Amino acid sequence: MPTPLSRHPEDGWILADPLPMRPSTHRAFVALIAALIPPEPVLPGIIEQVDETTRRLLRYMHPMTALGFCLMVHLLDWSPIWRLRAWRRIRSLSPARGSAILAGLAHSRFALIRTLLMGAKGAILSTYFDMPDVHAALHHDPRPFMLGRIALRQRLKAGAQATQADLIGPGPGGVP
Amino acid sequence: MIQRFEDYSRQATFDADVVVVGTGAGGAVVGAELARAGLRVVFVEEGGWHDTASFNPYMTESLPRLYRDAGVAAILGTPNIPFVEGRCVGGSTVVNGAMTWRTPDDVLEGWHKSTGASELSPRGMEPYFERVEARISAKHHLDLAIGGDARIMVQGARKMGWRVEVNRRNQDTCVGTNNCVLGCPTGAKQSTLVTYMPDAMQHGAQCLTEVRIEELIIEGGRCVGVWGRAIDPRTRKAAQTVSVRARAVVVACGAVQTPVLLERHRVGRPSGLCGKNFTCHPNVKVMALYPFEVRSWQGMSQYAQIREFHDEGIVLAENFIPPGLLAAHLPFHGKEAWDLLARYDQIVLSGALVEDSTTGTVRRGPGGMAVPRYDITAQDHVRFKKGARLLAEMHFAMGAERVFLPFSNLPWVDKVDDLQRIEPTQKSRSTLELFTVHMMGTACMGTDPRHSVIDLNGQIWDLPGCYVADASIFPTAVGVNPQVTIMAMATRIGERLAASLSARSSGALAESPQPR
Repeated sequence: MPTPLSRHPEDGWILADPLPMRPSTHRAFVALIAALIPPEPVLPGIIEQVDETTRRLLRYMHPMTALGFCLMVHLLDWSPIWRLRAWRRIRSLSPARGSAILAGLAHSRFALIRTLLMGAKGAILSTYFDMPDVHAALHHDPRPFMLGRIALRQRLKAGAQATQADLIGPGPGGVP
Repeated sequence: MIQRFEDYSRQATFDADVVVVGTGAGGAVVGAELARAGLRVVFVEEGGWHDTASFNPYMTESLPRLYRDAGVAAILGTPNIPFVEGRCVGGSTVVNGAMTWRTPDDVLEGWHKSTGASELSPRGMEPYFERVEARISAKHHLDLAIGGDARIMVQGARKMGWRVEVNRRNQDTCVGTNNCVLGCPTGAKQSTLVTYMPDAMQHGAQCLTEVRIEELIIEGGRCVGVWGRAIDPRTRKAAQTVSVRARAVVVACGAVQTPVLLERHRVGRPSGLCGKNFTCHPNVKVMALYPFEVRSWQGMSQYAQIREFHDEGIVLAENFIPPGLLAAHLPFHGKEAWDLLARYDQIVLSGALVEDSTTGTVRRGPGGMAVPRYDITAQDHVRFKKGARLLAEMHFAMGAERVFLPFSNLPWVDKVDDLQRIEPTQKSRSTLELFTVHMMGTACMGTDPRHSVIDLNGQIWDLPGCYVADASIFPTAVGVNPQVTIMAMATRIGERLAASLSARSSGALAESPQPR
């Protein structure tokens, strides 16, 4: 029986290994992560965590989608050059400079270019904002609330009556 | 009995009366109906069996466990439309918002009229809706499950003078953990994982998990089984071949995957409609940042719908998601993304769903990949803009300090007057950002093989022995969350198939029952 709400439920399900990338693709991918994630707070090891977790998610996609993702990583890595913003790839720029150039892609009038950025940003930022260290830095921890609700449901199913304290009420300064 | 990847090295061939491919709103229901009738049922499911106790609020764990392609897929068109579907025992019922709207009467009247089948009329479908609603516990919530974002939506709608309808949901004592999209950790959501699947298993059904079906087995022009491959959990590569032979095959993989499987065998030739007639209820998301705490992540998902504009084909609702999923849709990255997510407790996410005014296609692409295609119409474009504007107006009326819009060239506005910029800036459909979860219609039901893919019993016109029981079979889009319609139609198909197979077993009848 898995521990309730544990991050890695022990229910016998085996998570796939991260998708291996060619060294060049991997360097470009790590540079993209550094350019897209927030520069602060500085969280040790966060780039490695996002890298490994995203590559693990790639395993679950259709092989054509995963291949397309790797191609997209290279296209974005070269974007400073094909956008004529710099003469070096993202991997050779500082994360701040890379971030600024990538931000420009979001306003492109070509849907394909916007889609390229949206794909990479979606995969990387969604992984980043799911990492335990990031949740801690955001002071976001849904577990205590959810464990309380699980216990509440068990009480209600056992015949207890709900009380005023069980309402999901507005906190101080909350919803009017 | 539940089989997993490691079990197929011992046994990889199975026999049954009926093999059901898929365990979502269609497959689980039809399989339970058949198992209850005493038939030997084998389910085949590409995902795993994940119990309630394993659900958690973490996206990077839940997406690969519960969603096809880890939630990364898109319908091609102008604009492209990202979509998600479940891949686990219970299918999309495990990760949906638990809405239990019946098919609207006008939609059923349309089906009745176009097919001439009175059993598809509101009166004909009534008993099936009742059965389904009783089994999945479709009802209103306890007040204690209502969260801050639901209050804002309801109060906002009242302030604007709009009609609101509280949703009935398939839940038993929902306490509002708001984890619907990553699996209900309390067991309150009555998905097929906790209802129809246990029913079927109690009646002796088997469930082969972690197997992707690749082909139907066809002998003498009749479908007699399926074969596929078990998926290695570490590499996600196809490994051991697994096959199931049966007297009947039910395909219930959803409106995107079902036509991909059927197209491999070129079925639906009389009408040429297999993979066509694709509808998807696209929707836009509008996110509002409030100057006070809302904590949208507490409280049930989608308490109510604003149905004031339903006659125009627009429905408005709230629907909150974890920070990781929210971050995927932000119009920026880096510091700006952090600054916004740092105020996660002050965000309300809402959406405008628009009824389809056109249809698309689903084709089998390279490597068996599903390639859906759908282009919104000019009429849809107008309705999306209106839906987004209405939601933004409501959020500003409720005190929002910034509203994020679904337009790539107008990502946010800070005051209600700025909404006037929508019309002059939104001339092209390509700047619209859409999303969907309701895919339908790619193997439509009917009474004439020239205009449909399956007959009223759910059987494919030109492939005896093969049935379809998922959202593919809808003749048109339903305009509401499709879960209950799928379940009611699957109950009907299961009931008829059970009668047909039982009759054939006893020798009383050789033919399947004809439509009334």
